[in-house]
Amino acid sequence: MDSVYTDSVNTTTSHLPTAVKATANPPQFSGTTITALAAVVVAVIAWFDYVSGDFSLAVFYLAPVALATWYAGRTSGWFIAVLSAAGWLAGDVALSRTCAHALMPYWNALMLALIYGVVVQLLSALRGFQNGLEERVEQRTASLAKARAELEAAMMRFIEVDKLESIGRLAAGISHEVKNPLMTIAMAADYLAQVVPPTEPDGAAMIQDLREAVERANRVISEMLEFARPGALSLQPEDFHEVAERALGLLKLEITRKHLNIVRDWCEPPPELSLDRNKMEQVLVNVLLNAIQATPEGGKLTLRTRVNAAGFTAEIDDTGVGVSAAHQAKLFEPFFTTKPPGQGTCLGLSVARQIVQLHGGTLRLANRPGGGGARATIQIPSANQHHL
Amino acid sequence: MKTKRILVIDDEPSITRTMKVNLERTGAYEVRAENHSDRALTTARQFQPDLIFLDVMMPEMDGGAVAQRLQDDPHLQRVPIVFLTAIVTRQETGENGANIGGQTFIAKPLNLER
Repeated sequence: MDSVYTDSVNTTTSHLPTAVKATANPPQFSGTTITALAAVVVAVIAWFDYVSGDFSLAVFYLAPVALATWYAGRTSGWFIAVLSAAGWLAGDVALSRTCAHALMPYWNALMLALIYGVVVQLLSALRGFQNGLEERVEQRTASLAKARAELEAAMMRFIEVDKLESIGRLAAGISHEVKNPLMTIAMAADYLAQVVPPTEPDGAAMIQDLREAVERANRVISEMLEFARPGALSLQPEDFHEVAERALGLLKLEITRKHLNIVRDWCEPPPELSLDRNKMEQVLVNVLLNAIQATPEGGKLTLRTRVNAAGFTAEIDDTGVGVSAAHQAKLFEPFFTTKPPGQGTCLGLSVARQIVQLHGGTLRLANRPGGGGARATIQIPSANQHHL
Repeated sequence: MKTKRILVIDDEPSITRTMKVNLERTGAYEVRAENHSDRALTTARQFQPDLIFLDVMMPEMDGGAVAQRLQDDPHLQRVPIVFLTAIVTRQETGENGANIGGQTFIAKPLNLER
């Protein structure tokens, strides 16, 4: 017996994969409840049959029979069919009709029960066919939904690849068009540094500004190129502390300008890792620059390294404003930034994460456990350090 | 002391001019600039440089094709070539350039101070 009342087919929306699930669910009744309700209806009809005298109401019993069969199943349908015939017989016997043969009412009741039974069989066959149809529709709906999800995923990958290829072409074009004038400016700054006399009060500062502007523009272009084609790694055993020191050296000017205190909490012995020296240097420059820009003047940056059985971990703590919950999920998205215009390429952290992933590691950025700033964590599992 | 000869081949006159000025100011080099890659071979034959700086992306003939012609010339094939390129990053080449396929590459913009 079907145990529950269900009616999930919606002919207007069955062709729409998502619409099927969205249709309002009808109230659920158990098979027993439906059968009990049908029995009550049979009793009511039997009573009317009795009080109406000779008027035959046999056809009305089809309603509870159909109700029980459709919603509670064949067994329930047969039960109501027999009950209906019995109800009809009870009314007939109670009226004490005169019949040609004493068994006539029982014979008629049996015939009625058989007719109701035929209806039960037909309706259950129809219900079975409908259930099969519903099942096929559901299977096809699920299959369509799956196909659509796969298509959407493929489209997203295609868009991502296409976006990267477009950025790659754009970056190469921009790189060529921008780096040539940058080279002229850099060379001209070199020339001016030699010919402007030291007595000229603003000369040295302006030349330094020129060089910094060239470096900033060059960094933007380089990060665009790097983002578009992270490329293969050239792995060599490297001392991570040396790579970090070089990155700090490249950011000396920014660190000095903000009077930042750099704390080195290095593990011993220095961790020798399988790294692409130049690319890991870029990771650290990008992560450190992000930390420097987030830290107020006079703040502190702590660089911490640890090695254990699981692998290598480097942490960079700053004393800036930390990461807001709203920004957490977007930190590594290309072109996402909270910095004012001109202070970043919006690609630095994306590029850094790509490179760390190429090394088989992870890069995370979150608030420090005690609050009061953010912590960038680079982890490279031992399993991905093949030479160690 | 005999000055070394450097030939700078780049289609951007501002680049060849600033490189020439900076290198010649050291007093150690005599520099010739060439802004047309299709004339590079002729200029190199006349100038007989000790070193060639060669841009990779140029309109008439790219750096690779120019290098091939220079290396096919028996009088120039031993002259070292340093390629200047705008489409690799300094992180990729390092500050002192990179050896890629037996050739030396330096990323633009050059940092003479470093």
